[in-house]
Amino acid sequence: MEKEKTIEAYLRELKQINEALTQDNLRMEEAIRLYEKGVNLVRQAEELINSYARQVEIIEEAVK
Amino acid sequence: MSEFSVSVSQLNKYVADRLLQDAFLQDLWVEGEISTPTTRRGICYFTLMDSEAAADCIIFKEHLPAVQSLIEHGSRVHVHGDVTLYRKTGRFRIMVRDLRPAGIGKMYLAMLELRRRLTEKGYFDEARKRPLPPYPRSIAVVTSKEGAALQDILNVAARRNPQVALRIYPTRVQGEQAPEDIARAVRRAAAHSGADILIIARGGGSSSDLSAFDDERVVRAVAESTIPTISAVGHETDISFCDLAADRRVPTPSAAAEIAVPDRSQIIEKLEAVRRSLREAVARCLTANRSALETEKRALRSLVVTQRLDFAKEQLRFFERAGPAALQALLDRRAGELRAQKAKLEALNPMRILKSGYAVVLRDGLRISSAAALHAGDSVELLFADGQITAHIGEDGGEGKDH
Repeated sequence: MEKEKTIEAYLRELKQINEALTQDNLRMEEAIRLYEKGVNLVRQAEELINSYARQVEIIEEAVK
Repeated sequence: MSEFSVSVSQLNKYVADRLLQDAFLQDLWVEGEISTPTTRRGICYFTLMDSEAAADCIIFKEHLPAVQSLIEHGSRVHVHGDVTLYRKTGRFRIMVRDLRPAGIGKMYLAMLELRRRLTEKGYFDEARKRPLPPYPRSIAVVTSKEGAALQDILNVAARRNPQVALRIYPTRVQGEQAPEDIARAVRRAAAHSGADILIIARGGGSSSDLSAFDDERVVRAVAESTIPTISAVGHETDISFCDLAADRRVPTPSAAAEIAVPDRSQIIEKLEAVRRSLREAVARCLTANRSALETEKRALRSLVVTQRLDFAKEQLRFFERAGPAALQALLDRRAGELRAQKAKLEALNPMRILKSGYAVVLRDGLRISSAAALHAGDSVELLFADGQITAHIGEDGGEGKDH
């Protein structure tokens, strides 16, 4: 079973993609592919953050 | 051995017969002082004495009732009877048939006077009496070295505790020289023996035999002894001035050894009892302490558990207060980081500039960012937002175009 990716892992991967996109010798097709991958990772990370936010709300309610 | 030797029985019988045949010794009146009268099985025995001599007397049952009231120690009397020999001992005695009073005896009066004087000097004070040391290492004995008293003491001491040393100070115990001799022996024993107890002993005898122990010199020596003294003189019924002056008076020499010499087996038993008692006390103490320790340990354990619980509760309360906020803060931080990466990604979007009407120059898929990189005749791809075309670099910047 694939281990669920953490928010920190998403951030680390996005950082690597952004650094790769600044390279001069990057082919355009590769740049576009990386960009699209980055957009996809951002979406997944945002979903994960929203999920965490809901869990924090539940915990806050429980300890009140 | 002589052929004319006779037996003791023959001798005593002969003497007894001679006495009976002697008219002077029959129906005789004798004056003297009664000393130490005793009555056994209806027969009365006493000593009749004056200042220099004594004679045994006996009154049989049939004569006793008439004279009984007159028989008293120290009474001066005239006795009437026959002188006979008691063949078993070879001693003569007066068989008394009658007895008349002759006043109080001089010797008795003298004894009373001596007793008064010694009492006044405090020799008989009860307050002077010292306790005997319970565990003496050595005991001095003043007595005759030939008498049975010494043997009795040695036997009893050996039986009770052979480790107690006995130091014997021999002395004459009767006769004219006896008082000075006894007093000297007592002083010597007290001064030099190093003993813990001093016994003055003599076996039984008539009151004249024991008179040395009523002498003032003996009484003074005993009273002044630096060692606690035991007097064991005569029989149980005899009480001498020496007895009164000593710290303890016992009826016989054997009894003196009994109270002076601690019984070894009893000491061992006592020590065993003390040891048992100590061991039990230590065991009780240990049990009590162990129990107290257990209680303390339980209390401490309970305290530790309570403290841990309190700490856990505190942690929980802290988490309840701070946990959600911390989670939220972490989440906000991560969301911020994500936004930053997202913005950077957008800024690096290779297609964005094309949407503003610009085109990207590519050669072999790589972006060309400088005119100097191109030369006349080169083919390049121009990438627009809506498609891509190939172009040729002409002279002086002229260019051709392929669709």
